[in-house]
Amino acid sequence: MKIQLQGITKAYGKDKVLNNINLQVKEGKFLSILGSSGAGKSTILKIISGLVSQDNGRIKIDGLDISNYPVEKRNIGYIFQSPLLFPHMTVEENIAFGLQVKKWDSQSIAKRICELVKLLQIEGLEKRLPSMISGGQQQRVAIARALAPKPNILLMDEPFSSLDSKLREEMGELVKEIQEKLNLTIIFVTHDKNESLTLSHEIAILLDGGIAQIDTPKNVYYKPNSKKVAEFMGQCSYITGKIEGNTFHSSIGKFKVTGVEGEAILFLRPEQIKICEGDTFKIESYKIIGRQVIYTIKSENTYLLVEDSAHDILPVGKTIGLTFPNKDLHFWKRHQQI
Amino acid sequence: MKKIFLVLIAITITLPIVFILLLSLFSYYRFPLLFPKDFTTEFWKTALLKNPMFIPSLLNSLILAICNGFLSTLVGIMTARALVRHNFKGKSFIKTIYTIPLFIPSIALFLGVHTVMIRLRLINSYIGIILAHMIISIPYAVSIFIPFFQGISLDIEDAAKVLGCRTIGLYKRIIIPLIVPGIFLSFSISFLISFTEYFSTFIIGGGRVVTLATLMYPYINNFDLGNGATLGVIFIGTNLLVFFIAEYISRKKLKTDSYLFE
Repeated sequence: MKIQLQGITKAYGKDKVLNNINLQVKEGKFLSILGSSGAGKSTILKIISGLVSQDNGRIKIDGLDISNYPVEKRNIGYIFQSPLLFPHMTVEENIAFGLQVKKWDSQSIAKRICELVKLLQIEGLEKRLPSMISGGQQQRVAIARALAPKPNILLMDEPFSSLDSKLREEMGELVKEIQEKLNLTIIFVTHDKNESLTLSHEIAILLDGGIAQIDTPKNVYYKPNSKKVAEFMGQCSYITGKIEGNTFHSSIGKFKVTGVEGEAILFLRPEQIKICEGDTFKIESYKIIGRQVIYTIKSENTYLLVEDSAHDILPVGKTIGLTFPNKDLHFWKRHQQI
Repeated sequence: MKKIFLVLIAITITLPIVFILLLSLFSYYRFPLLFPKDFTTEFWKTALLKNPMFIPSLLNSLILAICNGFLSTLVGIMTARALVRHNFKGKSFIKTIYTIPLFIPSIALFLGVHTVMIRLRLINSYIGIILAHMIISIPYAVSIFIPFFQGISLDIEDAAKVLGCRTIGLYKRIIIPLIVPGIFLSFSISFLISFTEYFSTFIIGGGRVVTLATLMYPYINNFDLGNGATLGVIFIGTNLLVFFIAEYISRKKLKTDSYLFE
C-alpha cells in the first residue's frame, strides 16, 4: 500500500471538517476525492502534505508513519488550484527549486530539468518568467516543479479549475499519460464529476466530513451504496418492488435477477432506460440539458427519469414504451436505504 | 499643457537648489541683483579643509543614517510581516497606533523621548539618537512593507515548503527577493529621515554628537549664508547620491520593477 490514512479527524474550532477518514491508495493508482465545495477535500491533501496538522489519526507512506513529520521532510508533490510559480524565477529556476533545496548537484539538476521539460511539453520556455507564459503553460511548469524531486506521491488540488474547458481536458489527458508512464500515485481532489470519472482508477466520495463510498468510477456511478452518493453523482430513478424467486416484481414490470429475496429498490440512471414504441408510459415533462433531454415519466406512483438525445424532443403527454436493461442491475434492500 | 505643468514643477524644485549652489560660490548676492558677483572658492575651502568639524560631522551623519536605514528596514520588515501574517493580542491596536509618531509635532514628541532617554542613560549617545530617528522612520518602513507582504500569498509559501524549503530558505529564496524593491525604498527613506533630522539629533545628542544637519544650522541661523549654503550643497549631494545608488542597484538586481504589483 503506497499511502494509508487511518482515522483522520480535523476540526476548525467547533466546526468538524473531517470525521474519521480512512483511505488507502496502491502504488501507481489514481484516486480522486470527489465532494462539493467546502466538504474538506483540500483539508485532506493539506493534512497529507503536513501543511495542516490533523487532530487525530495516522498517515503512512510505504508503511512508514509520517504523521508527525514536518512539511519539508515528507517529499510530497503538491499542485495547487493556481500554478503559484515563484514570480521572480524563470521556468527553469522554478523547476530546479525543489532540487536545489534538496542539494542536488548542478549536473543532475540540469539533466532532470531537461527530462521534465520534455515530459510536459514546455520546451523553449525555460528562460521565461512566469508572467510571460500562459495559464496552461504555468500549470504545466507547476507540475514539472512538483515532479522534479521525485515525490512519493502527487497531490493535486483542483489543478485545472482556473483553465477553460478545452484546456482542462487536454491537461487531464496529459496528467493521465504521465501518471501511467511514471507509475505515479496520485490523489486528485475535484468537484467535477466528469473529470474524476474519466481520470481515476478509484473515486472516493466525500460527504459530510466522511468518505461515503470508495470504488471504481463505474461502480460509484452505477452502483452507489447510498441515496446520497447516488444523487451526488447525478440524477437517478428508484423503483420499489419485491424480489421473489429470482424475479424482481414492480409496478413497471418484472426483471430477472439473482439476489436475496425480499423488498428491494432498483436503481437506474436516466441513460440506462431507452425509449421505444408503445403506450405503457406517458411523458409528464422534460428538461433540456445541452445535447441531452431528460424526460420525467410517471407510472402509477413511480417517477422515472429517461435520457435521450435533444435532437428530436417528444411532446408532453405523448405515450411511449420503455426498455430497461436486463443485466447487471443494482438493488438496495429496502431497509438499507438511507 | 501637461508639459508646461511638468516644467513648472521641475523649476520649482530645482531653482532653490541652484540658488544654494550660487550662494556657495559667490560672496555677494543680495536682493536687487539678478546675478551674484565676487566669485570665490573661500566657502568651499573653509568647509572642506579649514572646518575641523566637517569630516567628523559628515561621518557621524553617515553612520547614524546607515544604522537607521538598516535597523528601521529590519524592524519594518518584521513588523509588517507580523501585522499581515500573524494573529496576536493587540494586533488591531498596534495597527492603529504605529503611525502615531508622525502625527505628534516633533518638539512635543522628542521632549517626551528626551526625558525617557535621560532615565535610560541614552542621552548624548549614538544609540539614543539612532533610537530617536527610528521612532520617526519605522512608521514609513512598516507602511512600505505591508503591501509587499500582502502581495505574497500564503499559498506560494506553502508551495515552497512542500518542495522541502524551511523557514530560513523561504526568506532567502522567496520572501527577500520579492520584497527587494521595498528594502531599497525603505532604506533610502530611513537614511534620508535620519540624515536630514535636526531637532531630535540636537536634543538627544545634547550637542555632543554633531551631524551635518546640526553643523549647518547655526550658520544659517546667523545669516552666514555662504558657509551654510556650501554645507547645504554637500548635504543635497549626499542625499541624491544615496538615492541614485539605491536606484541603480535595485535596477541591476531586478529583471522587472516589481514581481508583486503587475
